[in-house]
Amino acid sequence: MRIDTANVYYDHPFHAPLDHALGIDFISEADGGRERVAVELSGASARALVAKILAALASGEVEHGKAAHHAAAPVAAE
Amino acid sequence: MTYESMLAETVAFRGHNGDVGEAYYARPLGGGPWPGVVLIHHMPGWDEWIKEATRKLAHHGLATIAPHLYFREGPGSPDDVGARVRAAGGVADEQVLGDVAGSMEFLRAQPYANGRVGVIGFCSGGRHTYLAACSLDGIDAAVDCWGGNVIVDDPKQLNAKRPVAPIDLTAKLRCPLLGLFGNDDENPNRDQVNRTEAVLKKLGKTYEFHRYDGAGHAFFNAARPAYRPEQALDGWNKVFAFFRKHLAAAAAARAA
Repeated sequence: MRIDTANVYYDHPFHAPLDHALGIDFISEADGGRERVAVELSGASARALVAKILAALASGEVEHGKAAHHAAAPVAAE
Repeated sequence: MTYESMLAETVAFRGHNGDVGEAYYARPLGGGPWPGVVLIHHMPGWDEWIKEATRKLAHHGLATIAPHLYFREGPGSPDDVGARVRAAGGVADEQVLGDVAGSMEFLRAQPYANGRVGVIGFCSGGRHTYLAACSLDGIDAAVDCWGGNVIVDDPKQLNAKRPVAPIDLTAKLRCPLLGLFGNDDENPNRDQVNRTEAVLKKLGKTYEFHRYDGAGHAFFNAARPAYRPEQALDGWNKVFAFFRKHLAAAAAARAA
């Protein structure tokens, strides 16, 4: 499904056996917002996810930045 | 042999603005007449635990209706519907009160009703119960289970959907109130519960507050880590005793 919005909240979960959970509802407002892909995470898991997201962005931007640089540089003729 | 039976089913009820919605209704079969109870569900929504609680009250002689406060969000599983309501900032107090009033009319319209109606709510439903007991005529007993935000310390938390802090309406409380709270709860916390009690006492209201050590929020709910079996057993017994005292037909004769 298409996604254009992430609703993020820290509140009583519906399914997770926790008193409070970090919930993320991915929805498409443009399509009426009736369908969603949802996760409920503990606070610790949510913070770990944030760290993983930031780490993936950092390393990916470095890696792809290097790849782009190599693609642009002409190969020296033998 | 003693025969016990009940009927539990989804019914239609007419709520705020005359909108027709769904409710879960459980009542004792045979005998009667029976008092009625409106059960106001918690923020996650009209879920399995709420329906279990509805049946539990019916088992104890109370015809209990739990309206689905989010029915206007359309079809879908209760968790999807709850998520849409949460994204919209919750439901308006005025709408909840209208749905509670409609549920009370449903109860009183039944041929086996004894005419006495109570209201019980959990979590945000506890707050709605306090609000209803201060706003609606015809409630004979109210039970607030750990309702947070009855006291609103930050005025920025008030908005168009929740314009008034329920505590500010306490002078209009018009029925006996039972409050159950865990001492480890952070909303409402101990200080807020104490301050609420002080207001009730100052205004000469009829109330009972019970605070449980070793319990936090939602300690009746066996599906959550917050569940505390001893405290929940005692709390439920207090609920049944309170409703027996205030909703029996004899209570109506005393009140007359």
